[in-house]
Amino acid sequence: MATTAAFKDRQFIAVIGDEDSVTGLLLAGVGHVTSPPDSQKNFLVVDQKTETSAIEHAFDRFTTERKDIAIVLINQHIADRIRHRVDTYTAAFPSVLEIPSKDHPYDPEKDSVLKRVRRLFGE
Amino acid sequence: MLSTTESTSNVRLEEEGEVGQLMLELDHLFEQYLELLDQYQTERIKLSTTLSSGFLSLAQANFSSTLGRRYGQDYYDERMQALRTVYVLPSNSKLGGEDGEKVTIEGVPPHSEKPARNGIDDTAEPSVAEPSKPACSEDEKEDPHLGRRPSVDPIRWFGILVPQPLRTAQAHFTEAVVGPLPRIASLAKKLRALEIRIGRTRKAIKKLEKG
Repeated sequence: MATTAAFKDRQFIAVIGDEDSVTGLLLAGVGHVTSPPDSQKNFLVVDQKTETSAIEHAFDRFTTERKDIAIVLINQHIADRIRHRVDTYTAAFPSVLEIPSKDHPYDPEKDSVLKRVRRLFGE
Repeated sequence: MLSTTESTSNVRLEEEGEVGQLMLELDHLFEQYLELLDQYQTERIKLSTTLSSGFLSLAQANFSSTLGRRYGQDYYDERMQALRTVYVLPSNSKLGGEDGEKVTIEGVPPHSEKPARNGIDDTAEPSVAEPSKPACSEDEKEDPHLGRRPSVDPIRWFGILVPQPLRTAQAHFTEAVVGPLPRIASLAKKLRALEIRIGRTRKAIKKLEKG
């Protein structure tokens, strides 16, 4: 179990998603830009032109570098592009949750939580 | 000689009793695990349904938009401040605090002076005590020297007269963020903690059976 100190400063939800997913979640009020000069955003809009390395970099930034992120939301089809990185992520904080997007419904087969369940039952 | 045989059989009986105890514990853990898994899948369905409604409303807003504007990243406010933040509460359950932390997401209404505690509280875990929650709101965190303005409703980024479908989309996405999302995060943590306990119990049983 993580100590209280490990999560007391973690308060933001980060998003790695397509434009509609990010827009919707920002409309819900999760978007945050830190004070200048850093002005770090807690979201990344991914389109077809976005390099996989940029997604990996954002994932690392939200999961490893930043200590104020509690949950990282990532569209499942984008998580597929960095699948190894997502599946091998085991830290207690932040939580990484895969969410559906407009064009890609949620697939339980790819969900890392349900993958662990299958492993537990020896499948 | 007789006493040695008696003590050996006593040890064996003790071991069998211990294995039986651990088996019962394992059954209990699996029961808890399957119950949580069921809740996880239910919340997942809720999240998918709510997000799907949000995407549909957003598409309707884009379709009905005059001048062909798209409600997207071109209009994001680069100085945005989070209106909904996460509180992670340490679990203090009787099971030794190993059943994972509880996650809630709470909101600060736009232009408010004080934070409103309108977060969804997962009553499924009554053992969680009233936590020492961070008392600061987004407004309080703002540094007056930097001239940061109070948080505004993100829908204002897109203008004053926004179409109704955009408001509906905002309502659906907000519902997803305060409802199923923190519950899924909490449940995933609880499942993870139970997996560790199941693994440990299985190992202990194997060790006793080998011995």
